[in-house]
Amino acid sequence: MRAYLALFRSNMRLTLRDRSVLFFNYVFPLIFFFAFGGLIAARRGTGFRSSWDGSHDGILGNGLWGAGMRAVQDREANILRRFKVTPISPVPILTASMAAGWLLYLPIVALLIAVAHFGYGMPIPRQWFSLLLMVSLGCARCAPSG
Amino acid sequence: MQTRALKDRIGVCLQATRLQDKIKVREAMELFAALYTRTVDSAQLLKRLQLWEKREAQYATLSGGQKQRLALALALLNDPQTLFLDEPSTGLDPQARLEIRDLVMDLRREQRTILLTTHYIEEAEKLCDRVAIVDEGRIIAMGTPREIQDRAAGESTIEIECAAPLDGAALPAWRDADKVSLDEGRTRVSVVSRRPARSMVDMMKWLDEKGIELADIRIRRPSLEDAFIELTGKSLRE
Repeated sequence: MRAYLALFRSNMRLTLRDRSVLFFNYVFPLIFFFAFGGLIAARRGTGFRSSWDGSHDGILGNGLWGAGMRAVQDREANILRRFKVTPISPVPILTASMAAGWLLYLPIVALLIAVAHFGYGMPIPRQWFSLLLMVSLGCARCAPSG
Repeated sequence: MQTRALKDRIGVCLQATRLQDKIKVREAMELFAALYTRTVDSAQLLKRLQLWEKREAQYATLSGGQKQRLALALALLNDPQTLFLDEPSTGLDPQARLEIRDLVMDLRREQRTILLTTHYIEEAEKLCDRVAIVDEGRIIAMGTPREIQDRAAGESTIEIECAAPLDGAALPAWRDADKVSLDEGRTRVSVVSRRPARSMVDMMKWLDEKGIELADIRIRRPSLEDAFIELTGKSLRE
């Protein structure tokens, strides 16, 4: 468990220091949010579609360029070789990477809902658990693709 | 399972250890310490490897020598009895190489078993108790550096420098001297010998008899590099 926590902490720190990851995690979904909002000429009460598209692209961005991409970069840069000579399997590395990606993505979901609600009058979702489950499954699905 | 237990007890310093550019020295130590069941005090280790002042520095900002010292610190985190060092000083400047060499000497004094791979033959000669020369994947010689030097039929060269040019008299045939030569200035005599001690005694006697003043004397023993070249037929950096 110590290894999982240490890897998770390290992933969080490094992700927050990486500007490209921050861009794809937080700015990218917002860009799509407003782009789709403009494309479908969102009016008050139609923010759901824009919010959904933004969130969808955010999940993709998070999965493909977030923690997933970091793992690929680490492998390409021979960083993972250092872990191969330690007494851990790839499981804690992947788990920590996906958990960090998931946790770092949750704020953008809240932000998109807030912008959709206050900017376009989208109703606040009632089924938070379903939303969380959907976002979590999306992140888990896209991370291996990354 | 056995592999994992083994990895928990050994230390490995890769030829090129790479960490994330933005990870700090202290964080790297904390991260890797969490992967082992037994660890030493990270702060002590950083102080010992002269990285304490750099503990808050990001990996990308470290010099080559500092990165290699950090790699060694990571290899020592679990206090291993057996260490694998894969060309730890390759690509470093002479000063950093010397630092790494001193560190390995310290580790050796602590009675740890160290398996060092190197292309620097003088490094092997200074640091290793036993050396194995590997050529195209095969061990072609193994033993102490001295044993390998002796095995490689190398001859020593004795050079004596006389204070004044020698007269026209021919040089005698000293015992065990395979090749004797005199330079153009007729002051320097070179003798190639398999048993330099015996040849040298004879040479000193001859100089004494002739009343020739000796200015300097040098013996060049065959180095491990000479032995390597002789055994493999190629130079080390080929």
